[in-house]
Amino acid sequence: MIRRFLRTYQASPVGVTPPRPLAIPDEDEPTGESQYNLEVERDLTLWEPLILPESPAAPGEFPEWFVDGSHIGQPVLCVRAPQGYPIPLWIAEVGAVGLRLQGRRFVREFFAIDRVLGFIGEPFPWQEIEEFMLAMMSVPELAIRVLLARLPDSSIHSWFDYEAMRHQIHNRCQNEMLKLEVLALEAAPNLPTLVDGQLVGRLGEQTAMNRPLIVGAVKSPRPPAFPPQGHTTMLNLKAGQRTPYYLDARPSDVALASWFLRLADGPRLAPNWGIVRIDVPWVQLERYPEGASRSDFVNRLSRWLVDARCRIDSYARMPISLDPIVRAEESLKPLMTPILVLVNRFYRAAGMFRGDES
Amino acid sequence: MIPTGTVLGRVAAPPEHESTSNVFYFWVDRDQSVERTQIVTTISRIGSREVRFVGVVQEVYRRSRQKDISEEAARFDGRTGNHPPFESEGVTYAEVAILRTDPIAHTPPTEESEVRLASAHDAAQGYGVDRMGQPLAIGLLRNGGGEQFAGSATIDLDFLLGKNGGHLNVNGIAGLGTKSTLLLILNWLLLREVERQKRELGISNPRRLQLVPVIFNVKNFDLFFIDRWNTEFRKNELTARNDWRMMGVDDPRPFEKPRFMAPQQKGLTTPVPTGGRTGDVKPYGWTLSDIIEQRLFRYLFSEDDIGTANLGGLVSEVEEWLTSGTPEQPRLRTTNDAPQTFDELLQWFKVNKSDKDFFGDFLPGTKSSFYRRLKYIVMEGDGVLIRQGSGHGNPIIIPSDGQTSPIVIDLHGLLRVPSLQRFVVAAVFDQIMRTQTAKQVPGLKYLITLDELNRFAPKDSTDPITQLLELVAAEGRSQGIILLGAQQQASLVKSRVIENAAIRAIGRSGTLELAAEVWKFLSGSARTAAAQLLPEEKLLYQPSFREAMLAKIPFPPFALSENDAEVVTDSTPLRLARAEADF
Repeated sequence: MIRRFLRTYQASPVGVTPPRPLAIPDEDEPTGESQYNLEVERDLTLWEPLILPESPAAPGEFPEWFVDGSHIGQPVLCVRAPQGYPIPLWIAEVGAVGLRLQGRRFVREFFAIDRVLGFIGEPFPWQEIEEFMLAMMSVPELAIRVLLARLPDSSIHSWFDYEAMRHQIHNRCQNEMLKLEVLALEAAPNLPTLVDGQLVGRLGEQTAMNRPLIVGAVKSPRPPAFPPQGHTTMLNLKAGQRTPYYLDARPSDVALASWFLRLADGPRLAPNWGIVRIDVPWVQLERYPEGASRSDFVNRLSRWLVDARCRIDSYARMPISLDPIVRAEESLKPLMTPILVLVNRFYRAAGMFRGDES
Repeated sequence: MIPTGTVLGRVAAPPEHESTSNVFYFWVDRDQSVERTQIVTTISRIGSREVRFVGVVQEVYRRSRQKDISEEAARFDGRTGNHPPFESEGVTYAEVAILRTDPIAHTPPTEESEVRLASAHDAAQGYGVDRMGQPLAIGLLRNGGGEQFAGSATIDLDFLLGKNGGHLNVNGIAGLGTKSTLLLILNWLLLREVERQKRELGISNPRRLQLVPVIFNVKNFDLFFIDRWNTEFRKNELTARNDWRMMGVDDPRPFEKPRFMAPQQKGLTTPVPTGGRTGDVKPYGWTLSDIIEQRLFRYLFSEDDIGTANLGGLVSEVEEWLTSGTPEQPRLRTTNDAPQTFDELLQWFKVNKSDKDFFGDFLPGTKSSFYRRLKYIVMEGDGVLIRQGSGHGNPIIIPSDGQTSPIVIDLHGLLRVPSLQRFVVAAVFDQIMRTQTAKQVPGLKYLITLDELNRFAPKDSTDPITQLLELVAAEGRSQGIILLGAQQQASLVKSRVIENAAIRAIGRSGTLELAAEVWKFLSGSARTAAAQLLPEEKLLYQPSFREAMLAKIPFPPFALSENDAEVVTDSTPLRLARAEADF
């Protein structure tokens, strides 16, 4: 069935293509009207880099559960829809891991991995799609789940734009990883948690209200819609300094208290190198009385994060990484199948190897 | 103490640590400890079959997560007082040399297979005890540091006593006294085996093992007290006996009624003073007649003496002239005014050497040389070489039937005349070789214990004594002559003597020595280990082992010096009986 489907729709092998400029808004950053309140800690005119005091974070004020996800995949085939536009098939393994801090050591207490084949199914007859999905699941050495993505918005992208299609499928798989991260998050509902990446999309207001501290560390934040004073403050940060926190109430499932923190100095590849954004659900910040005690909490948490920064020079993203997240990554990656093995197995199932065509 | 069967880690085979059919690596569970010398097992499914591997941990490594020293320092911001919030959490991993696969498979284990601490049964299989013809436990098999053992350290007597190989050689630095301990314990255990076979096979069974143990004492009169309890053993009797019991020996005790021989004193018929051992020591010494009858004349001259064809030729001619009778039964010539004593021999040669017809093929210089050397050995060796005695003296006579205790022959009394020490050794070996060449008794083995082999068969020597030892090493096993040799540096001993020892024991040895060619058969890890062994430890190697075995040799119950010897009093037997009953 697999081969018939692929033959019918003129499948041809494709590989990894060089990155191209974003065709579609990336990530799942909330969009919409800018709704920042930059003056919850201090007036914008008084924004300046804040030096972090040495006060240690109290239990409950620093994370003990660390969540990271991984998505390793690549396009393997391109089929032609009945209407003629190209649709890539994206093979991937997505996974998430939860590490628990015990004393000064980390223990992997949760992990989940899923093997997926993403593509856009809408243009094909549903019965054929169903048979194809079943057949893919039945290949013992692959046991891969077909993940269907939607066609991109035709008012923005032509469906004949291969890159737009590829991006759409990639994002579908990325969402699958986020689902696993949510599972990892829910595996330790009573522990203060740090998530690699933003919190938006991972929990809602109600969840945030009912659980202990949850922190998001965004390594590559998109430049916020700040006035110049905000940007200047951010760029002037030195290692171990933060900006004032602000309220990010853009339309999303959770309002956030966010601030920028420079984790490390060292050779700067860009002016914002070493700066991460820290997100905490606003409802959790509200557990502290308004005023100095909120700032103190933010300071203590920031100090803990600076102390927990990655110090492995040879790690490419060292200046924007936290050690526990690097550990989580290291703990998850070896569980995943090397992508080339998956690709080869897929090609074998698809009859793409010479001498194995039927 | 880690229970056997505990999972220690899992096999890993990343680049640079690939498994082979000889070696594999495993990472260690963070809650376990792994040590060099531990015996481990792992089972892998290879193709359609399950293969069980037994191996010994060669080395244990620790790797941090940092790539270089700068990163290590960076974790502390370069200040030792700083404490990073999280542990470095590196990984410990171990290298394992494969000892055995079951079924036989020349293939490595697969990654992620569980690695477990081996039991005594596993370890015995690893070293092929189940395939040994005549296993003999001579110590306890180390299973890591501390006092954890994987059963007995067992050798195969087929490799020691001649069937598949022969001889044992032990190497070790001076001062630890452990070479003698091992050799004496081996003597004791073999005598015990003789008794066992006598009991179980019957005294008339011609296949049973019989031994004539000959032990040369080279230092002080240390080995003249092996029939007494060792005071250190008595002090730590529970521990010591426990070790013996673990290797299957319930009754360690001193040797029973060994015979002692020491050089005869000059001009007397008594032995040289032998310290606290008096009364039951027999003297030994040779008259000229004994020397000729036992064909030992050439051994009186060392390599320096007869290294040249001229002097060597003259020695042979003199010996021939002095000999009458049949080749099988040579006698000292009594006609032609032949000299009958060493003194007469000196005088006879001195008087005649100027005569051109006296051994006329040789130049006066050669004859003078011969005379000077003969005079030196006879004068210095007075006592052992009985100068004025005619007829027979007290030559060492090695029995030609099985013994129940060793014969201890002292060489220390000849300390000032090394050439005479070599002569005595050669005399004993020569006698045994002749006995065995003439007629062999099935099952009878001559077990000769000789320390300081470097003195008796030096690396660069080619003299008759060295040649004799080489002959024993090469052919002795087929004639029932087994050499238990020892030295501090095997690299200084004739390589043929070392290489022919099927079983090698290595005690703590110098690193320079271990770098020598003679040790190339040991793995790098074993050489490193050999430089760090404890006094009671030995690395044992026999041809059927893929890797050396680290053994703890139990503490000897018998004294190995006069200082260690328990003083025998009237109440001693009663006290010993009580102690044994208590144990």
